[in-house]
Amino acid sequence: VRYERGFERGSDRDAIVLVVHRANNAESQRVSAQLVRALGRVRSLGGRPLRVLRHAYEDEAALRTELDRRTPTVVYFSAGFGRDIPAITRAVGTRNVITVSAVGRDVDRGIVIGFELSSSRPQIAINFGRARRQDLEFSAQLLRLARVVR
Amino acid sequence: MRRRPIWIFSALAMLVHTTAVAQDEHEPADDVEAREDRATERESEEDTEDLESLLGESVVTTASRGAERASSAPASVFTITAREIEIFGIRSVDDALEFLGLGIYVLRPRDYETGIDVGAQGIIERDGGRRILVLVDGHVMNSQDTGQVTIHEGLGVPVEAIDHIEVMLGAGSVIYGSNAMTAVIHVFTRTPGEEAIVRVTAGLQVAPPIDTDGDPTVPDGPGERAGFRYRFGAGALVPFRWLGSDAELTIEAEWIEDLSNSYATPVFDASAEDSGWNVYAGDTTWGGTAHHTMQAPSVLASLRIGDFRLRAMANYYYHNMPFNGRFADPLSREERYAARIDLTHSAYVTPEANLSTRPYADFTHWGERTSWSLPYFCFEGQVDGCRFERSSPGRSAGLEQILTVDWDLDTV
Repeated sequence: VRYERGFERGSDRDAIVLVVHRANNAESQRVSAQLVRALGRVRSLGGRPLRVLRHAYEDEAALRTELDRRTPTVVYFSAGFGRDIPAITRAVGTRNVITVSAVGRDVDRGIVIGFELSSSRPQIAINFGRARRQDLEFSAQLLRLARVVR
Repeated sequence: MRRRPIWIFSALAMLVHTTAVAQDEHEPADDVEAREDRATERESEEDTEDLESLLGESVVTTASRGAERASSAPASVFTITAREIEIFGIRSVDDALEFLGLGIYVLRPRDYETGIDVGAQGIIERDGGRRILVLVDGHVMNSQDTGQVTIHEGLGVPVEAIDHIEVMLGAGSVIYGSNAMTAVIHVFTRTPGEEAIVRVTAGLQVAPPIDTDGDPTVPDGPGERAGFRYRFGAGALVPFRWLGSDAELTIEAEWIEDLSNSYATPVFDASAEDSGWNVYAGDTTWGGTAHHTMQAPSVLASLRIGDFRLRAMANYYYHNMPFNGRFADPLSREERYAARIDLTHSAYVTPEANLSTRPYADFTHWGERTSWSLPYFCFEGQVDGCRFERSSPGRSAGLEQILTVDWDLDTV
């Protein structure tokens, strides 16, 4: 988030990370639990107090309601959302929120940032078009290191 | 480690803030602003360097059968990537280890000798690779019969199929069993990305004849010839959806043929009984000009649907051995063929527990044929010579189950 220029503009608010998992998918629950565990060791995100919330994904409407209610800064989607990404993208709309997926391939389908392994090396993938629609502006330093999807 | 960029940023931000406040009383505002800008730039550069170092580190799975950073793995593991293999024009796993390996030594006689050996940790034995374990996507490639393994073209993995190779130095027998004494070499194959890819490759190498001093020469004498080594590869990586599940199909095939250049050795007098060169009765000399032929077709296919993955590998390897037994005997040869299949199901039965089940079956064959008249190879009375043959067929099937539990998760 430090590489998203708009993040510092909201420095008077808590950084809210909404971790989304599929209720009936054990791998999805595992990935989200791992992230929550890791974030539990961090008190702030980019200098802002950090709050971590969880959401079990049901459908597009429920996600839209959750986004309206929680106004997260970052929404992290754990594994198992492949076929729901179009619905998730519709629910997010043009909200100024950083969507992140544990699966790099989801970036090609509409998530803003994803993580993948390329020949055993971790790689960041960024959907540049989607980021612009969500009014996110990433620094050139990050874009230089990432696989950029246009 | 993951917290480090945030921690570094917070610490630096506090330091910059404190410094700026302290200087505020003594310096003009413009100078303080410029100083702050420079500090912010430095922070940003350091942050990027930190991110770059995180992204530059390999994630390995061989050391503890789970993904972890190479620097925190409980063994020395290094990775050779497909990109490195491509950049250096490497065409087989033994070449990759020989050229890019660290702490590992490949003893590779040319194709006209039997055997290839890999050493690590200062140990190398002429034992056909029994002390190393070679895996392809978790499938053991060592013969279940002899424990031997070959890692040249006879391994049967098309080079374009390789995504990366992990090499774990040192003993890994606690996790992998008896062969993993000096090193574990784990070849991971490519999987499709978002787009389907079809690829065709071809390569040709030409080599001049070699004279007895090992220098290149022109082919003008009897038996002298230039060498041609060519290869064709074709592959497809196709992602698709089937019955609502993500699915992937990977097929890679390769044909390698080496019609070698001629190479010359000194001609030895074999007529004396105790010369050491009288390997075949009636031959008055041993040595001269020779060449060899090698063929190595291989195919690898993998189909993943949801949590299931079916994988099949088949290969054939042949080369003749002009230096084994009777000199330049066209009947001397080494032959290998293998077919391997496994079906893997890996799924989280609970968020804390992953159960991986893998039934597998292997059919392998290795054979060698040479001509001799020495008593070690022939029966008593075969004074005119014999054809010495040995072979090792292997058939095995098994079931592997691995349960991985992460008991420290707070799931909902």
